[in-house]
Amino acid sequence: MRRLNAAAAAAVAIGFGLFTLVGLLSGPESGLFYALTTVLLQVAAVTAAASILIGILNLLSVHWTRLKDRRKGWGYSLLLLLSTLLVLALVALERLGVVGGSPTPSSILFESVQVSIESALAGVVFFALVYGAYRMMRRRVSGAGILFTVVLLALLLGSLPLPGLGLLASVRDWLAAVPVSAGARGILLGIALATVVTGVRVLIGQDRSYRE
Amino acid sequence: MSDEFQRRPPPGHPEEPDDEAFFNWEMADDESPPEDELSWEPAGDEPPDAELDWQPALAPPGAASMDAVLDWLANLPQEDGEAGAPTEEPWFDAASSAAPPPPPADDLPPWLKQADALEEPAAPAEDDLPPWLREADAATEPAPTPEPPPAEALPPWLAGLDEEIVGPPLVSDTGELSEDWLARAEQLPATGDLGLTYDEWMARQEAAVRVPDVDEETPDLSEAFDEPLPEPTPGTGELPAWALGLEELDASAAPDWLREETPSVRLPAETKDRFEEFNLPEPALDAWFEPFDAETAPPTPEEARPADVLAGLEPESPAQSDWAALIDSAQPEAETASMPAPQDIFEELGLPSPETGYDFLDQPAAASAAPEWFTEPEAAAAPEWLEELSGLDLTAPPEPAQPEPEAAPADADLLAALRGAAAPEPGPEEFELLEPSFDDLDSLLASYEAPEVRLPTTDRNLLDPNPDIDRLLSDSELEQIAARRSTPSGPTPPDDSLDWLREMGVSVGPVSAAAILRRQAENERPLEELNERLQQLHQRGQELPPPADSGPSDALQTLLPGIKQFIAPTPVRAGLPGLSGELALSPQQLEKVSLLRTLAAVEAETPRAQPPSAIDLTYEARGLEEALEAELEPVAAEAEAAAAAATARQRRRLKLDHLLISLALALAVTLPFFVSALRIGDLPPVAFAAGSRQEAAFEGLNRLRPGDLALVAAEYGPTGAGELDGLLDALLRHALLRGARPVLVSTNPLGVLHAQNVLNRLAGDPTFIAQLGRELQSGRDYVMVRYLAGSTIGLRVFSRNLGTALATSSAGTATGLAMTTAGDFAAIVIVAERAEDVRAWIEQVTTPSGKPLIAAVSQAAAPLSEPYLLPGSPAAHGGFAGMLVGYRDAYTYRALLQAIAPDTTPSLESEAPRVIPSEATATPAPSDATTPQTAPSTPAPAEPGTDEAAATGLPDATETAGSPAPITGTPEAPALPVITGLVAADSAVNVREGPARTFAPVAALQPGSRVQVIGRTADSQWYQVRLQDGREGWISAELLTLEEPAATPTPAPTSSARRDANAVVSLISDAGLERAAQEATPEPAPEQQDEMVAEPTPAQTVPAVGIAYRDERWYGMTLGILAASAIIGLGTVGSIIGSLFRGRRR
Repeated sequence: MRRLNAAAAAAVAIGFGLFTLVGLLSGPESGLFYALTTVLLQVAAVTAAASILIGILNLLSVHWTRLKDRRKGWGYSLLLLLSTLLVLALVALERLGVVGGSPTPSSILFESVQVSIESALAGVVFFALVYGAYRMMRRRVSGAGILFTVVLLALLLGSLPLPGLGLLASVRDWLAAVPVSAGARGILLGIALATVVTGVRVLIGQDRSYRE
Repeated sequence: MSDEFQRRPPPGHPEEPDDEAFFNWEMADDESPPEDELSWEPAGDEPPDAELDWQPALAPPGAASMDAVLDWLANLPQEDGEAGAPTEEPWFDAASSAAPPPPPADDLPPWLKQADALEEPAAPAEDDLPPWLREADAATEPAPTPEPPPAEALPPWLAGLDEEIVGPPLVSDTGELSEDWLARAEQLPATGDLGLTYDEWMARQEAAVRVPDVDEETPDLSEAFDEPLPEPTPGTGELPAWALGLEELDASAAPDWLREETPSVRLPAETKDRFEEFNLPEPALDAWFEPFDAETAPPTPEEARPADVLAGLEPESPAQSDWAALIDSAQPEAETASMPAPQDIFEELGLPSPETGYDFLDQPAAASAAPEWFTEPEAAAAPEWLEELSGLDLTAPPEPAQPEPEAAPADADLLAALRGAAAPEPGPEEFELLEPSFDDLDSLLASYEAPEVRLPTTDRNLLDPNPDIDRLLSDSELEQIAARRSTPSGPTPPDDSLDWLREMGVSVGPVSAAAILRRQAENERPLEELNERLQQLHQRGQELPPPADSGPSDALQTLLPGIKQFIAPTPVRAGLPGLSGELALSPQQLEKVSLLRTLAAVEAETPRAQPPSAIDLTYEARGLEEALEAELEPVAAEAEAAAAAATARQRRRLKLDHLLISLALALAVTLPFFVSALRIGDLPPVAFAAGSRQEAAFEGLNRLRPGDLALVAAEYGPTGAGELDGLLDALLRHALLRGARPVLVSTNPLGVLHAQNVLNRLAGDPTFIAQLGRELQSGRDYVMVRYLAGSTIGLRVFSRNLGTALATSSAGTATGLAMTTAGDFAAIVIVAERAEDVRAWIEQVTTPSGKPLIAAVSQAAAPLSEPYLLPGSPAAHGGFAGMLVGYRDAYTYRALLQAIAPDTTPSLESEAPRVIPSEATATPAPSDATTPQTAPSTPAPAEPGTDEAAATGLPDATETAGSPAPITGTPEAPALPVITGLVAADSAVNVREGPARTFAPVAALQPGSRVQVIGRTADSQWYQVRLQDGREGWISAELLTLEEPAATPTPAPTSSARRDANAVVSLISDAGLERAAQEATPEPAPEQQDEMVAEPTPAQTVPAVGIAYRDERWYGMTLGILAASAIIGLGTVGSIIGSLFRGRRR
């Protein structure tokens, strides 16, 4: 039975994959194919949206369980649950017209709390990166490490709007235009090839990540 | 000479031949020559050169130390009267062809005379033999010349002496040891380097000469950021490499020769009672286990070869009967594949291993350091076991050992006494194996060949072939053992060991279980050094309840108490034994197992507990824990103190580094907000370079017409808000000022909120509302569409079903948009934090729609986004694809918007939005004081001579319906004596509001641009200039080269000359400028008048809105980057200098 289920899952995945591929390649001219492909894509989008709801419910359930059992860190769970309820209530009241204003309270919360905190955390990365680069040579000095540091400094200093750094600016422009662009194109080509390979593997049943 | 003990030297090691010589000499020759024979010299008549001539070319590999012997062998007289070698080896043949005349028989060493006699029927001269060899000779018959075994049959450490060896001769011209040869001893590994086995040393030598490959040269940049991994902790499953696989071994799977060390199988009384209770015959477990032995697959010849060699070690002397009986009983014929490795035998005999323990044999110069029994020919000095060995033929095929059942219990007791010397002796029923067992030869050899394997810790008691058990168990001996074990220097030989052993620094590294634990404990990282997260994990692990024993084991123990140790859970599978630690059972044996499981009421399918491994058994050994604690107490205290000091130092350093760097960076990015003196550097230009992607982006939105729909995707979260909010703000301002209607979407839920917040800020900006001419209203001026779920698939659905996706706003209301494809939008803009979002939008939306994409991305996403946005890329439909990057472009974009934004406050009652016509950017502005400026859509003047084209050829004046006709022709200007200046710089320069860098820039000039100079400061450091569009500003004198006054017509200024209070010299009269401007300014057409009222205000008069503290932020970023560069540079230089100093010290 288990094997039958796996085979059925593979057959469904391959069948719908081929169906969608044909529909997308043939375009609206294919009529039914294209219509069904569109429906399938919409189902996939709806499924993704539903998965977000499921994820939210699961998150609330996990934290509720932790709060109920007084496990370690239950205080944070309580804070999360209260925040969720607060935001839901605020947005509901805004939609009902009970509270209003411009900007809305929920927008103020988002801008003042979430954006501020996340931006501050992102700013800490600047300190961490500088400190990491500062200590990079502590353990081992290598030619590649020196090259990396020189390029890094050239990029940083070349972006400074200071007089007398025209040469560094030229170096920076060249680095961004030639090596970085070449590397970026290589990465994008790799991504494209990997996407094609993955798609083919799924279509021929070699990659069955949907199975149990 | 047998080849069995030949060892193959690794290639590329010239020292190896010398080592081999000693090794072979000791291990392969029964007629081991005493030291005095080593100094034997050939016949005095033969010149030494003759010997040395053939030696390098003809001597066998590794025969440097056997030169004396080989010399003599080469000169031996044969029956045919020619010098020859006693074997058929090619090198002996070659030696015979070039050998010198044979030495006189009187010159033969006594022991070689005896050897010569072995080949001939003549009896050896008894007097010439060493006493100990004389006995051996009497006990054994001369063995036939053995056939060299196949090389593949030899263990690796015994393989091969067949390689060519190049090295200096052993004997110099004077007959003494060659100086060159002796000098090479310095290249040998230091004997005092304890714990360094021969293989390790050889690996180091190979690594020293090996050319590193590319992967090793490639640095792991993340390595610099990684903390060192903690050492494997005992009991956590992180075992050293050599121990891998030991966990799977089962004590019950041990071969019989090892199992014989345990007491004979007996059922406990309780078990017997159970059998009687169930009226079952009492099983004879001894007999039950027999098939395990009998049906074991016979060993292959390769596997049996070491056993063959060891078979020659069979002792005959009654004095050795204890160990001999133990070994003999442990190797029945069917179990030869399970024989221990020769190393174990050496370990059991208390001798150093041939791999490392006989290092002195590898030291030619240290021949005098050999033990007495080795160097002295007297038999009394040699150990008894060696006397026995000397009489054996090591190459003889092994004889099936005869088990001696009656001796097994005694042997087991002896072994138990030896192993439990430092701990209470376990009882017969409680005895547990303390050593790992191996069920096949491969696993045994694999463990032997592992580089981490150290030789066992030899003890004085083990060195004694006849240990006195009573003395071992006496209190004084136990105290001495405990005292020795408490000594931190674990790997050193015992203090009371032989002097030569200690002097040679014999590697007696730890290998016993206790030593393993000791080493693990020494290397274990103190808990305090772990980071907080790991400490918390450790604490949680401590709080976890102990795992309950599995059912089968408990049930078995309950039903058959005591039987657990005999049928301990063993991985059972059918088939032949393999390399795994599992026990392979035949079908008959499986039936018995099934029967026993039935008796024990154990489900066959029940997963059983992991069998106890050798490590587990070691951990569980009684008394071991206490012994280890006592042993490790001083070491642990010392290590703890050192670790605490190291941690304190590390914390001090980390704190200082972190504090200083963080403080410096924080000050660098914040001080420019408060200290104007720290606002270094130029502000970003106020215009994009001509032909740049930034300009293309600006023009893409500047083409929007009233009522157009612009699709704007806000694909970023809070982490990118600081960089991208400004860009989204500028783009939305521009689109709204053009009268277009932005439709905002996002596949990121937070992106929708960000877009809403930006629109809220715009709605709250009175200046923008004044520019727009009405309140910003959702639905009428913009549409906020719901979140697009599904990421890439969601984009695909959005692109294919645009009408459905756009039907609902983020507030859940109907948008009223009737769109069918993305091509219906006049422009598609994406503000993205990640390059993946740009790629997804290009692939799923813009490419099918055929619309160009304007992308505003963060600095991090720019490199991967650029390939999609270059000319000719899929995103560049229609010939242009705009791209804006980061805060710098946001700043410039806002400056451009300021330049074109109207300063008049329109009537809020106006129905139609006041728009900025795109044509205005290309129209020379009238020289009216109230509407004086043109929109600098391409404010950067082009090269001289192309200014006009740049000003008038800008976009599509003819494409816009209803737009005013482009102005053609350049107004004539009166011939005035004007001074022009040429911008002499490598890059664009700023024209500022005042004569200092602290003034805001009003325009940017490309290199080579010409401007009219109308004034200067008193110190002539700044010039006041007038641009082509009539704007005025100040430019640094360093960046401007004055040209001769020309009377040729110049472009007319478009605004009245405004005397700047900073200017002390006016180079052009205001009256002349005004006149020229009036003459040059064309009257706008009537239809132009309507739109000209919306002409932008001069940049100087528009306050900087939209980006709070935009200049301060820029200066903060500039100083922060400068500080970061300085810190990184200093750290790198310091590290390099420190590394150089450290290398010099080493």
